[in-house]
Amino acid sequence: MARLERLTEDQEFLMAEVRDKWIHEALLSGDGLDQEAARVGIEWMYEITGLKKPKVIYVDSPLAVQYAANILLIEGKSGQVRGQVYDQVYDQVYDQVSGQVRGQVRGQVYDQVYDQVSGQVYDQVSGQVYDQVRGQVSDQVSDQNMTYFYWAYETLGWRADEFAFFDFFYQIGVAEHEGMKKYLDYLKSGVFFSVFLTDYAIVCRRPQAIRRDDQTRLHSDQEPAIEWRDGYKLWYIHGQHFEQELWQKIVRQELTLKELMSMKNADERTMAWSMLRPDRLLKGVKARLIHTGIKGTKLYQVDNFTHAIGASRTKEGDTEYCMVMDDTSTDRQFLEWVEPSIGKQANADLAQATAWGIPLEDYLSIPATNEA
Amino acid sequence: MNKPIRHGEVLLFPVQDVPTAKVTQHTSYIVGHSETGHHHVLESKTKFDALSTQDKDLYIRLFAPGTLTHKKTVNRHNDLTVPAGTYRVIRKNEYDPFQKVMREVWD
Repeated sequence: MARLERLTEDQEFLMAEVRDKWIHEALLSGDGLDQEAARVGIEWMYEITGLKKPKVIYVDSPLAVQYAANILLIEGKSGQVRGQVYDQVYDQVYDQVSGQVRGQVRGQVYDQVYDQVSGQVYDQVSGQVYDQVRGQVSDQVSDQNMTYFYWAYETLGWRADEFAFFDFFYQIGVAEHEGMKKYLDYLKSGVFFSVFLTDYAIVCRRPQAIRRDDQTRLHSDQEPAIEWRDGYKLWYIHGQHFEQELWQKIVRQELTLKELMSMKNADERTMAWSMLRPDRLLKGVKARLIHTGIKGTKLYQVDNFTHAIGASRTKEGDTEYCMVMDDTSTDRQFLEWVEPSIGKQANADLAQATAWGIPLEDYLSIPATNEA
Repeated sequence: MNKPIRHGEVLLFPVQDVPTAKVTQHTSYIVGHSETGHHHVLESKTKFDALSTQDKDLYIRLFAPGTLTHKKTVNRHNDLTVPAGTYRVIRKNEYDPFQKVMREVWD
């Protein structure tokens, strides 16, 4: 069979479909867990590793996985096998399928699919969610002086990216492997986190709800950004974790500017700034009005921005610009930042047109009756 | 030629031509997606085309007037009538001074 030189147009659309399917499968399809499929998959992985079948324990959150593992530790029933299982799954599935694909497609195609399918699934599932949760669970386990059990590699949270990649080649008939089929079925069972021990495998389901911003970072100003069925939940603003109490003060605009400026964590402080109401933010950074546009947009200049938000002790001389506009449908005001090279031209309408990516005359041609 | 229509951070910009795109037909289509569910949705009693290019640009071809609605219960944008015609769907961008990058505006 000739090597696949380039993807057809249909295959390029399929890449997007496979990418979206796995992101949806991992993050947005609810917290269902097919216990039978999970058990079959885990028993198969233990079997190819030469281990006896473990007893599978199902819990409802990653923190509960750690609690369960610690209880087994107290009872002297633990002993991690994550490395052994990983090695065998790598050798008997991943390496073989990867070899099949490499043998049948050109390196350029391999890289293209890896970048556009695997890379994007990784960013959204592992990078923005799994790693964030892993970090918080690790901190909480350590805070309680418990043992932190390292997570098994074989979970939807960690492996969705690589198997989205192989799923694509499986669907176009390039990869055909019984082990991979079993692995895909296991991942589809919905195991999001797991700990593999000698006699026990402890697994948890996917989150019940995930809320994200436009950059797919965990975020909500209304509710926890991520929640599990047993009540375990975490609060985020644009990908930055906050304890619930501080998160509430920020989103309810109850944090004083003094409190905000004295926050020690620079990442938390920056995100807290980004959540301020326009009027409070303008006052806090001593913004100066430099132009009012024909449609009422106000353009402001903020000198020494980094210093103004408390991210630097010294005045760096950096200038930022923002525009403030009334919402035509409500009594709210919106504040949007402007790229500095546009802002310094001191034309609020130009700033708007640039933000829309259209010429100034087209922006000015939008009738008021066509805006809401 | 129709005039542009702005609905929050979504702009329907009238165009004459559409590049090569995958066409699907709908009577209700999300033109401004939101993870929080506060979508901007175009609705029409007559089926219309949604055209998605490989560069992920979105175009709409309306054969009869439609309505732009905001799926939100509070602080929602008013409904707008959209005349029949072909439009490019544009999302507004803004600068993020904290990360020094451009990104789409979301509400």
